[in-house]
Amino acid sequence: MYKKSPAKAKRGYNAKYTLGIDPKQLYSKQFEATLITWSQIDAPQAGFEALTPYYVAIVELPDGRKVTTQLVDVMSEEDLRVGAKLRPVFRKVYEAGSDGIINYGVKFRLS
Amino acid sequence: MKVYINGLGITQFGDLWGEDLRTLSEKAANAAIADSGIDKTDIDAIYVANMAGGEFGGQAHLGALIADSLKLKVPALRVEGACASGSLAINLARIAVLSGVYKNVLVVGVEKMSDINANEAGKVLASAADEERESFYGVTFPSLYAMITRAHMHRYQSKREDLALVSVKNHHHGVLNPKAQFRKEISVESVLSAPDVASPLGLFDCSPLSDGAAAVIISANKTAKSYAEVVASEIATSSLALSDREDITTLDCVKSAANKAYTFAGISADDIAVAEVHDCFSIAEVLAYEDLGFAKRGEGHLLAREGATYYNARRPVNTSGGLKACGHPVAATGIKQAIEVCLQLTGKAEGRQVEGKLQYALTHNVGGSGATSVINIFKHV
Repeated sequence: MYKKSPAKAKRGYNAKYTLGIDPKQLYSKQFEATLITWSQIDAPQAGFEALTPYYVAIVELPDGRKVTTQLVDVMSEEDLRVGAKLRPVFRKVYEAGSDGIINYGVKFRLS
Repeated sequence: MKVYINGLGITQFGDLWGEDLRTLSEKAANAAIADSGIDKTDIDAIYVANMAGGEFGGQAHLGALIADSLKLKVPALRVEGACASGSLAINLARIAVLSGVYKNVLVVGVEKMSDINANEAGKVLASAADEERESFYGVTFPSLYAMITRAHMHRYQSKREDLALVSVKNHHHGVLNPKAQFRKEISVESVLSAPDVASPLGLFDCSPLSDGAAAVIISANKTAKSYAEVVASEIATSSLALSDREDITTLDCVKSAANKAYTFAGISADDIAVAEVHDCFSIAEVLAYEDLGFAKRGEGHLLAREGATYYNARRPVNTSGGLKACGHPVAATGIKQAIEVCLQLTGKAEGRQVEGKLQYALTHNVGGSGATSVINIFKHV
């Protein structure tokens, strides 16, 4: 319902699409975030069934801020450890139904 | 001025397919009124705790709904603070009575969750997290507490087996509580081999989806029916998003609310004879031990390992079965907690009664991943 609102997607643009960081800096080779904690979700939130299982995480950015996000391209949970270094990637988060807009966001992968 | 709990009413908790919001709240409210011995017309106001009647079943405006079903035309309103709604309503009723405006407030907590499927219900519950910055990424409540669990395990070497012991203990208590949703013993092995929900938490680390209602009469009058005096009720809040907390191995709002409540009541953690805590997930009970001062920082899981929180051990916690076994009809939980400690303080917790002369009891009710916390302290009268 409300997740289909283009106005809502537009309002969140800066925080979700760039984490409030200049994209040139965000996607530069030097940008590294740190894994604080994570969970592999087997019982998904409604709307995320196709992605299941998926990883959510809290990561620390170089400026000290901590954000909630998803981890992608994880081959095995064994590869993850607290303190692991991560790189941001721009990914689709979900589609709000067939007539809804596609929501994008910044996810992270092991660097 | 003092404030008392004068009547208790509670329905069965569980998958109650034959019941709806109206019948559940009516049963609990009528039971509380009958138990208090007061006339229905002596009720000055109705405070209804409910998280999401609109989202779970299309019904909002619960103040009027319940007043109507009781054929009362008194002031009635709904209180919402996610899973802490029940204790919030008690807090507000206490303030209303202290103010002198009302003498008797009927507080009803109710949730009807089984009319939609589990994923949809999970989405409704996820609305208690930060929608823009957590739920957006598919975060579920189990996964938020799972991330807390991993941080606690990493820092304090707590083990999944320790957490499993919390669920095992609460199921043991659930067997002894006729109102509980799950009246069945479980073992550490069954907890560890249960289906994955959000690693490292499995199904038996999680409280269930439940239907149920609970009600109490908060009153200015001490009567022969008074169960307890409400000696302190403190609310504290913290960041809505877990990631905004400096330290995610503790719930800072619980610590501050508990410290304020202990100070207000003039007691310390060691004076609490019995407590009901918000074990929405097994790790949450471990954090409660630490944040309430029952265990040192980083040693909550050792209390579980010791078995110290069984009803017949040195530090009884969740004699009702907790959220895990008694069930968690979200906004009814805080009221149920108050009912359980009232039964304990008056020696009426049949089959699971804590021995000795119990003076003080505490309830710990948490909303979200620790964004709202309400600590209520009750005293024997």
